[in-house]
Amino acid sequence: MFKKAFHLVLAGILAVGAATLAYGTFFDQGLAATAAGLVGAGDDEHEEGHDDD
Amino acid sequence: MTRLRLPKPFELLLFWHGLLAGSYTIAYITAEGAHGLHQFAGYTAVALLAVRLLVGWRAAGRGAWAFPVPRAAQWRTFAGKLASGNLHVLRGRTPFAPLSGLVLLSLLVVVAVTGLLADWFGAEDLHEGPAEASLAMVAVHVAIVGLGPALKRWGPALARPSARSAREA
Repeated sequence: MFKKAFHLVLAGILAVGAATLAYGTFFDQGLAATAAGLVGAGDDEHEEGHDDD
Repeated sequence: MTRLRLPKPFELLLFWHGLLAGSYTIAYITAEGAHGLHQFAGYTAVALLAVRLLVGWRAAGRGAWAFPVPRAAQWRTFAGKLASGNLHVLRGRTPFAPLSGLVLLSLLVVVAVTGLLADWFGAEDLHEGPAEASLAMVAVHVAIVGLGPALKRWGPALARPSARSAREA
């Protein structure tokens, strides 16, 4: 029972992860920036800084 | 031959739980550096919470999707066994598990609403406090939900003296 519950929860987490990766890749900033964002190394503020230059 | 069947309500609830856990984790991780992903994960969480509240309200206290309110009888049984020194009651599911789920669900609704306010009206200060507090509540919820089954699985093994110490004695 615990294993089945764990697998269902894991499937949900992976589904959202895949959906976010697809959204970020095709509709946001591309694969590299999305992958960086998903591991907590996003660089939005840095890019905004460049816009001001 | 494997037969396909419709998922049971509890299985759907577990999958919903996974979707919410995933969107929460991504929203938390991307809060500082990836605004687009944070919005995507945040709006996904808002939609999931809306579904949960709607179905929980329709369930009216029955079934897997009912809100996890610990009943008075559960507390009485739990407190009675604990008062009589029966620590085995801590193994498995305690009334603290649904209580922590309910508190976390309420807190996530606050996080979601303040997140919408932050996105629409720029009230980000309002969003940060509940968002940070929610991580602590997630940790408490995971600890409470995980402790009971962990004690059930490993408690007897830990309580048993090992074969080596038995030989030495």
